[in-house]
Amino acid sequence: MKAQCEVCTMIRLRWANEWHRLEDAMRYLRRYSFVAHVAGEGSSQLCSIHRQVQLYTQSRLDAPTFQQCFEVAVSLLRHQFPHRSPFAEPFDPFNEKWQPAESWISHLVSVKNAVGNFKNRIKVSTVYLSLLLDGSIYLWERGFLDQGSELNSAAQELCKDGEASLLVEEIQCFYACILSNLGDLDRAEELFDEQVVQKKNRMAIRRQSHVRVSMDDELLLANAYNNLAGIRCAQGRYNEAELNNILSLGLKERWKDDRNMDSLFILSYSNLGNLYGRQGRWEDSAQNFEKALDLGRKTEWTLRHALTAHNYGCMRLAEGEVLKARDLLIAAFQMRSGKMGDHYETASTLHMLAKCYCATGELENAR
Amino acid sequence: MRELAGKKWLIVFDNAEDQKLVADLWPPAAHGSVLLTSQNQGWLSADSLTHGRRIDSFSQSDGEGMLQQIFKNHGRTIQQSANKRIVKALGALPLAIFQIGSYLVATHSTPESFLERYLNPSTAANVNSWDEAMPLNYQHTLSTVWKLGFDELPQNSMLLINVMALLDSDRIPYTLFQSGPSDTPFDESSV
Repeated sequence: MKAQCEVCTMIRLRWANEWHRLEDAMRYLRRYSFVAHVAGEGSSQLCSIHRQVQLYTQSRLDAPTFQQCFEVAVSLLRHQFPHRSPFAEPFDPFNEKWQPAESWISHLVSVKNAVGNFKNRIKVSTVYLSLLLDGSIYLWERGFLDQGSELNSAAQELCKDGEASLLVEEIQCFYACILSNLGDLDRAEELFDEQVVQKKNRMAIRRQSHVRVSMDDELLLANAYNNLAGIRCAQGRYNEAELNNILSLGLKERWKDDRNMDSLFILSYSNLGNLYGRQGRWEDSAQNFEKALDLGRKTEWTLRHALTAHNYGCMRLAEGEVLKARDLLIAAFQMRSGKMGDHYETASTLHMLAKCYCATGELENAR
Repeated sequence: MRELAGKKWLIVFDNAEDQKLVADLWPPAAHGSVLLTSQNQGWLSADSLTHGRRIDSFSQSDGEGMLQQIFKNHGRTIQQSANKRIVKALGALPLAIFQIGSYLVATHSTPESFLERYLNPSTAANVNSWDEAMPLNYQHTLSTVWKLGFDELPQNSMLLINVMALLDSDRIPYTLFQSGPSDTPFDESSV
């Protein structure tokens, strides 16, 4: 423990007058060509390690030393890598807050691989699990599905024998999202249902202990209802999905004066729009999509707004209102391509737009 | 040195890690030449040297050429794609290419099985210490060549490289090691 504190202290040189200690340590490493200067000057330098040096260094580490270095690396990366909160504005991997993730994600993947090479003979902390979760969501939303899924699998593997906690629930929740995206609706529904049960149980325990249920407790439950509603809608279980959506909306309404809920309301209204659209309840669907779009126009959450426009456009196309569908999908495409460029979601919008053009006879545009 | 007066001579110091080690052997004569090799780049700024040069790894294409030649010398061939992957995994380091190339032809390992073993540090050690085909006048293997430099590292450098070895090897920012307003940057209560 003492050695670890010394390492942490030495490594985290946050004061300008200790810069020389880091530079001194680096100087020896450069002298023997273990590290090489890549770019930059002073504190903005980048360096690299030769692959052979990396392999040799790792091979020298015994388990206790590896544990020590792993904890330091994780601690340093956690400070740099953006942290996602389930209550914050919609996750947008392309916005300013998440730009640093681009610089650090490869290091997180490297640490994960190194842990795998040690055959998981080390103890992991919630800090590492939270990093894996944030990294997996970032990669998935950026469109790197395999890599995102791998990080989530690594987190799940580490959680499986551990105690339940909010973080573990978040990891499993994202796994359910991955399953849903991959089409395994039944398994995803089971996991989302478990999420609702776990959160309700937690709230029940608090009440029994005469502890007040907090806003965060209820909003986490609202999110869980949202997820369950979405998957049940996809399964065609419309009545249950509607009930879950209404329960979710009700919980959010309770707290709307205490916190800005626009992002959460947009989600609920969009879900209801999808749900009613699938049932052919066009007016109800349009009403909810319009509410979501109205809220979205007031924000800078381009991707969430684009998703709403895309889904609304799909609904209009199903309804037969091709021109309205076309305009919505064009708007969604412009937002998505402007923000994400070549991304599978941009492709999805283009595909639906092509269907619109086919329906209007604009075959050249469709092509 | 009296015997060499007026004659051209060359002395080679191979793997001279420290100036003190060769201080007593350094010729006092003004004529003749000394060729010195070392892992220690500190020599580049030594007063006793008139010219120094850092030798980098091969380029990817030169490395592939070397590996291909090793196979050819043993009457074998290696597929271009496998060659590329192996040289990339070795960082195009000449010593590594020579040792691994010799290992592959001697053990008849396939590139795929080799890479699977080699990219795992726990099984890479066996390959790195393989020395059966190394030249008689060169005593180092991949296991031992780095040890020379590592033995010279002070503790804080050793700790630093141990942490860096877990990261992405290509671009490690200094800013990473200057971070952290607290010892527990992750606040569990925020979840």
